[in-house]
Amino acid sequence: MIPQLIVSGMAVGILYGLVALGVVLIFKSTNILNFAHGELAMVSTFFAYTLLTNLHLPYPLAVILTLVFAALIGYGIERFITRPFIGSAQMTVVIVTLGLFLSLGVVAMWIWGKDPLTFPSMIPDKPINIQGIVFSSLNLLILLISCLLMVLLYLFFRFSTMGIAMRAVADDMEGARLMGISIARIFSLSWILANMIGALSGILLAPIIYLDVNMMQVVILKAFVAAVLGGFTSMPGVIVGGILLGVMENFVGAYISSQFKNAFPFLIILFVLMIMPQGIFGQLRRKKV
Amino acid sequence: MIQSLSSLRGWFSRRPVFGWSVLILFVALIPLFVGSYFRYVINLAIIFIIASYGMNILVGTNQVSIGNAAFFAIGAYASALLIQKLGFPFFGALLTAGGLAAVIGLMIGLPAIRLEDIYLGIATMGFVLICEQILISWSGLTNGANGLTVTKASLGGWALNTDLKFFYFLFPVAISCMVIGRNISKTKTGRAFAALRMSPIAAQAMGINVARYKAIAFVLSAFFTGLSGSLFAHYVGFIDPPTFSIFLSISFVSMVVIGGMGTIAGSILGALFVTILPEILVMLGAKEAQRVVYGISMILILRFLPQGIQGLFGRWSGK
Repeated sequence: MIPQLIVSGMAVGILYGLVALGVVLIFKSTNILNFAHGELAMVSTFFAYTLLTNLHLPYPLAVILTLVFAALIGYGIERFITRPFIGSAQMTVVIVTLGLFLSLGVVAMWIWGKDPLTFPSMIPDKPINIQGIVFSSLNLLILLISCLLMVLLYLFFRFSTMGIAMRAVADDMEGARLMGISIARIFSLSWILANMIGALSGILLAPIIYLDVNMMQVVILKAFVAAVLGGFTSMPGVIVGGILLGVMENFVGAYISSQFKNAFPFLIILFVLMIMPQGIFGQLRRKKV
Repeated sequence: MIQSLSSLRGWFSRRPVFGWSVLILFVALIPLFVGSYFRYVINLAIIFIIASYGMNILVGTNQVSIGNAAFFAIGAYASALLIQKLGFPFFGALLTAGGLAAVIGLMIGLPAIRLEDIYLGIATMGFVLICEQILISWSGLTNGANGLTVTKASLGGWALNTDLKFFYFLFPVAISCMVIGRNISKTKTGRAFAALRMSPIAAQAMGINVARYKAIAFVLSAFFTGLSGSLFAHYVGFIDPPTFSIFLSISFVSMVVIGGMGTIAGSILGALFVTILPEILVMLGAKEAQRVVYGISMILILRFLPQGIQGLFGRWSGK
C-alpha cells in the first residue's frame, strides 16, 4: 500500500507543483501574486474539453491548440489588464487578479455549464504491475510528462536568451533594464509561459478530479502551499514542495482521517510561515521596508 | 442654483458634525416610509457596511485579506451557538462573537504579517477555504451542510422581530462602529495606519512598528467583520456553510474598492452598491452576473477611478 500512496501522491503533488510553478514564474518576474492563475487554467482546460469532445480532434492537436489559446489569453491579460498597473502598490494588482478570479468562474459557467464533466484522459487508466506493486498508468504518465516539461523548462531558463533575460529580470529589474532587456516583453513572456504551464497542468489534472468550474479553487490553495514550501523563489523547490504536499496529504488521508486531509494544507501554511518562512529552498524574502 | 448648492456644500463641509447629523436623521426616517422589502435591503446593506468598514481598515494599511468571510462566519456561528447552547443574552453574544473573530484573526495573522504582504493573502485564502470545510464537517456543533436556524435578536425581553425594530437597533450599532473607527483614526494608532497607507518605508523610518500596527489593523478588521456576521445571522435567521465562501470574502474586498479605499464614506457607498446590485440583477433575471459585475467593476475602478465612487463625488465638488 505504501508505494502506491507514494506514487499517486507524487503524481498529484507534481501537478500542484506545476500549478505553483505558473504562480511563482509570474511572481518572480513581475512581483504579482496571481490569484486567478487556477481559474485561467480551468478556462483553458474547458477549451481543451470542447476541442476533444465536441470537435473530436486528436489528442496531441487539441493539446497544442489549447496551449496556443492559453498563450493568447496570458498575453491578453498581461497586455491589457495588468500592465497598466506596473508601478502600483502590490496590493492593488492582487485585487485586480481577485477581480479576474471572480469573473472567470461565472464566464466559464455561462459557456460550459455548472455540471462536472468527465475529461477524456490521454490513455486508458489501466493498472500496471511493477514487481508486484500495482501502479495506475495515468499516474505514471503524469509523472513522465511533468518530468519532461521540467527538463524543457530547465533548458529554456539555462540556455535560451529569453530564459536568461527572464532570470535577469527576476534577480534585478533595474539592472536588467539597464542591460537593454525590455521589461514589458519579459512581463508578457512570463504570463504567456505561466498560462501555458497552467493549461497543461489543468489538462493533466482534469481526468483525475473531474472538470468543473470550481475545480481549481482547492488546487490553487495547494499550489500556494507548494509555493510557500518552495519559498516563492526557487522553481525546483516549488516542484519538490508540491510533491511533498501530495505525498503527505495521501498519508494523512490514509492513516489519520480524510476530513483532516482537507484542513492539512492550511496547517502547513501556518506552520511554514511560523517556523521557516523561507520555505525549504528559497531565500528569505522579508518585508522590504 | 449650482452656485447656491456649492455654497451650501461649503457651509456643510465646514460643519461636518452638523452635516452628518442631518444625514443620520434623514436615513433614520427612511424605513418609516418604505415597504418591508426595502426595509430588508436597507438592513442588509447596513450589516454589510460594518463588514465593509472592517475590510477598509485593513486595506487602509496596504494589506488585503481574502479570508474575511471566515470571520463573518465565526461571528455568525459563534453568536448563534452562544445563545442557543449557553443561553447568552443577545448583546453579550454579539460582542463575544466579534471578540472571538478578533482572537482567531490574531492567531492567523501573526505568522503572516511579519513577512511580505502576499503571505497574508495566502494565509487568509487558506483560512476561508478550510473554514467552510470545518463548518460542514463539524456537524455536531454547526449542523453541517443542513445549516443552522438562528434565534431572532432580542434586547432584554424586547424581541427585534420585525424589520423596523431591527433597523432601530442596527442603525445605532452601525453608527457607533463608525464613530469608534473615526475616533481611532485620530489616535496614535490611526495616524500609524495612515502612515502605513502612504509609505511603509517612511513609516518604518519614523519609528512606527510596522508589523505591530499591521496586526492591530487586521485584528480590528476581524472584530468588525465578526460583529457584522453575528448581526447577519440574527437578522436573516438561517446560516449555512456555502454562504461564507471565498466569494463573500472577495465581495468584501470589492465593496471597499468600488466604494473608495481608506474612507468611511467609501465603505458605505461600496456596501450599498454590493447589496443593492444583486437585488436589481435578480429583478432582471441575471442573478449570476453579479460576480462578473463585481469583478469587472473592481478592475475598472482601480484603473480609472482609484478613489472609488466616493472619489467621483469629491471630483464634482472640486476637491
